[in-house]
Amino acid sequence: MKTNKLRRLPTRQTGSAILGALGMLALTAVVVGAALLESRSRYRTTHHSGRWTQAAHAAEAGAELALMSAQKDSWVADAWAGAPGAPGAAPITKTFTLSTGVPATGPIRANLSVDTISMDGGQWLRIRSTGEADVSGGALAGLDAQDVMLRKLSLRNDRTTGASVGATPMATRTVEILAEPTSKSPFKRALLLNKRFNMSGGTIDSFDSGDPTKSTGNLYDLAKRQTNGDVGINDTEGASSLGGAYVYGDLFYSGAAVTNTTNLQGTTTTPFSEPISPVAAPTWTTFNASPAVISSSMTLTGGTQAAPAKYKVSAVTVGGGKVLTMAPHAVGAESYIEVWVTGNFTTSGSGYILSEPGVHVTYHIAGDVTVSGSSFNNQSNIAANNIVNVISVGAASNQKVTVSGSGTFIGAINAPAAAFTNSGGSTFSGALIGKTMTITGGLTTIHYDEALGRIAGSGTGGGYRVKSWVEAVR
Amino acid sequence: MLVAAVVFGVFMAALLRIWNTLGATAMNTTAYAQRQNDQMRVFDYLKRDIRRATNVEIYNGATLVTGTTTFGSELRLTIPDYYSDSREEDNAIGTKVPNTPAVVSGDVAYGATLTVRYYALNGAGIRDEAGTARTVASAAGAFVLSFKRETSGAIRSRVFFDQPMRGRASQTLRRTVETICIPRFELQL
Repeated sequence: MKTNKLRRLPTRQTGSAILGALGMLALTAVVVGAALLESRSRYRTTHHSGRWTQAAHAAEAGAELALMSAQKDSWVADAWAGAPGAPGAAPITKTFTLSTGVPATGPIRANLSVDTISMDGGQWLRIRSTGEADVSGGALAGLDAQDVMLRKLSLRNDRTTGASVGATPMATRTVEILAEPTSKSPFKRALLLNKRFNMSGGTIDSFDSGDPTKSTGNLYDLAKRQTNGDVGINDTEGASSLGGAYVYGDLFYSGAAVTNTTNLQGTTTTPFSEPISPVAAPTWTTFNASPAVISSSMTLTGGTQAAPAKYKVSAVTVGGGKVLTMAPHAVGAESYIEVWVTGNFTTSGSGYILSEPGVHVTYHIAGDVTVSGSSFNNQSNIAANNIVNVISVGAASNQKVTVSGSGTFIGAINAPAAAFTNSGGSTFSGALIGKTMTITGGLTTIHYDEALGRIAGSGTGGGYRVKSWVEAVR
Repeated sequence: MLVAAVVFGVFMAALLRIWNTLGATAMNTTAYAQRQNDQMRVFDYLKRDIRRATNVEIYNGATLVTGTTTFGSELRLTIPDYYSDSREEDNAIGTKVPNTPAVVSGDVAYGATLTVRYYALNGAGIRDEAGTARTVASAAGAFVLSFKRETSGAIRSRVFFDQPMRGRASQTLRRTVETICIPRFELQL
């Protein structure tokens, strides 16, 4: 009997088939693994891109929040430590958490820093807002160097502060916004007139009450004289003259040439056009009921900057021997008073207005103003603390501002619709705006206080307009 | 024996085919992901730079494209020179000290301005900042960049890639994406 014996394959051949299969499997695994690794990395980069974009949105949202507080001047009410200080002061800071209540969203924040800078004659607001969005997936960068260069994620250290971010890598974006005050100072020159200007001798120069290198104790100091006593005339009407006055500044005008400019120290520019905004009447509906008229010695008490004391009177008449005192609400406190005069404003003889130190007074006068150079005793020695706005009642009006006699007036008069007359050789430390101006007497001196160029405009309530938006990409 | 050899050969050929197809698919998937990644990066650059531009122009070669109907092949952006050194704005090694802003002719300026250009060159997406060109999208993608101004003032950017497929040269991996981005100055800041 024959039996079929199965022939066994050589062991070497069996092994090569298995090895071949395993090799194919390994190669396949490598290819698939590489694809998965690539996909994982690309998915992570997509996540990075998304969070990086969200960080930008957070930065913009933070800047808008700061701008909102600025527009409403509601810094403290909005839980900031206070309002931004003067240029050079430390910025105020705040962090907003923006992702609260948003489903499936990791932490998103906006870190804000707000300060002011001096630009273009005003105090601009600078808002720096850094948006932060936490990144998932560990401290791993993308595969492409261009992604790293673009997004600059804070994977191990915060790229702005250098501090460790611990286990929470972040995408950060920073935007910087510059906003100019919408209410610009009207007092950019020593004199600004819509129509003709005539001066008879005298001097015009400048100083800066806010800069000790350009003033002494807030006051004009001849040894620190500046040469920004500029004069601007929108229309000379063919009858404007400097009258040989020494003008330490530049002359700007339109129309027929200004005469008698021998002692002009600066340059002359023509044509010239600087629209002068009319002065509007206040729109208050609440104010102190008393007094209704000021005609004898009395004291008006100020309020805080946020709640200035407001008075509306039909006329102010401070006669000989009378004193109208502007007092602070607390000894040594900065105080604010606004006086709306619906009629004329007159001082005469030895009568005067005493503004105690630290008191900021703003007048809104609808009628004529008749005063002498010594009518205002501004004990702050700062022109910005004594602003006289003469409400414009129309181009055809006969409004008058008349200053006579000697003495020193520290303040600024904004009377774009009024004929301004000065006689007697007064000294002005501040700035003047009028429709026309005639200065006689030969001894009048005008020291323009450059600090007036940095104050906000009168009676318009402030506010900011965004003028620049940049992203700090490093 | 012969039958076994034929069966084995067919089996191995099929396996090789499957392996090749799988490999090509994996390669194409990877390539597609890479090009999508490039596309996303180009848009992130564009969105950032258009947003902060102070002026936007579109060109077709040397010809300035005006109006809102024609696409151009190059985007030219004027951006503020925010940092005080001369390195590329993106270069994180440079100083972080900004130029002091000033008002020039009524506008805020940080030093001089920079011109940033976006265009495609030999299939690569290029970002050129003040003469320094960098590739932001690989030439392998045969990228085409197009730009058009919308009536709203927004900028429509179109990024298209068309990369030949691995293993099927007659077919390509292609994708077109558009975004519309508004420069801040169009929003009156």
